[in-house]
Amino acid sequence: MKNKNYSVLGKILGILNNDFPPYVSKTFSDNVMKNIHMNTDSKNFNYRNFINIAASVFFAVVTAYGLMSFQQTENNIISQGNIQKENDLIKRVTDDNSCIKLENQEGEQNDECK
Amino acid sequence: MIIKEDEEIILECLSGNTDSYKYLVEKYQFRIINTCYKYTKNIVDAEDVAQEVFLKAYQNLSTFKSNSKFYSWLYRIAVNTSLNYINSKEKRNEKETISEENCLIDMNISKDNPRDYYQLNELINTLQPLMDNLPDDLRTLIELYEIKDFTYDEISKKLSIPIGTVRSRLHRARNMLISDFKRINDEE
Repeated sequence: MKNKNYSVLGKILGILNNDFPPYVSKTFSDNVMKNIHMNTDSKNFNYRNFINIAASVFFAVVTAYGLMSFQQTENNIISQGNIQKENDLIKRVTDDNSCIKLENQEGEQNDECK
Repeated sequence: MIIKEDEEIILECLSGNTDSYKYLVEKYQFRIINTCYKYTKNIVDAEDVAQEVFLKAYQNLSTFKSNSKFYSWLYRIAVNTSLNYINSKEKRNEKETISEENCLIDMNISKDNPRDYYQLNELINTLQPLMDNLPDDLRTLIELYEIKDFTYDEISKKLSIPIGTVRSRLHRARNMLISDFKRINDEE
């Protein structure tokens, strides 16, 4: 974006108003623009960073929630299986006892106890 | 030759065209650096402060009210930033040391790199004949708007001409001055 007219107009305005310093660096306007671009970029960078962090936190929360729900379901399945096994064992033990009792008390043969 | 009005450039900047701001920097750099120079007393510090002034102005461009002139607003920022700079410098108690260092830098600038710097005092004598060559009505407009700091509205009332005419004549006057100035000083 080169347009020398503004710089020339600046000189004219400076001279007309007798308002100019002894020296002005020829790269002054370029330095100002560099500074402005750097500031704008760093602001954008901060904004991008914020978005990245927010996204990371969001996914972390979602993942944690997902894992917790999954673990809870697993626990239910495992505990239900255990209860089932335990019930079977208890049933067998109970049945065995009843067979022994039956054999001892009545001396009758029970088909289920064979 | 297109020279946009300050308000037009500001609108471009606000709509996201950052590069347009360079036109405002180039237009006012000499006057703003000189304002800072009056406070800092050395040119290196003045350029640093002026850089901060233009950065602040850019960051607060949306707060600029178009009923005042952009230069007046920029000037106020320059004065405040220069005063802050002086105060912070005094707080650091480095005033004398820095001044000595910068005087040395000033001397180096003037001796070693004259091509890297604008020196407007060499051009003073070239401008007066150009002003004298302008038609009377255009010269009056330039004097009122650029030197006496009148607004378009004030000029319109004073000279009893419509604002549109004030704008177009000022535009013509500026263009004439710029092209003649460039021709005389070989700036292409």
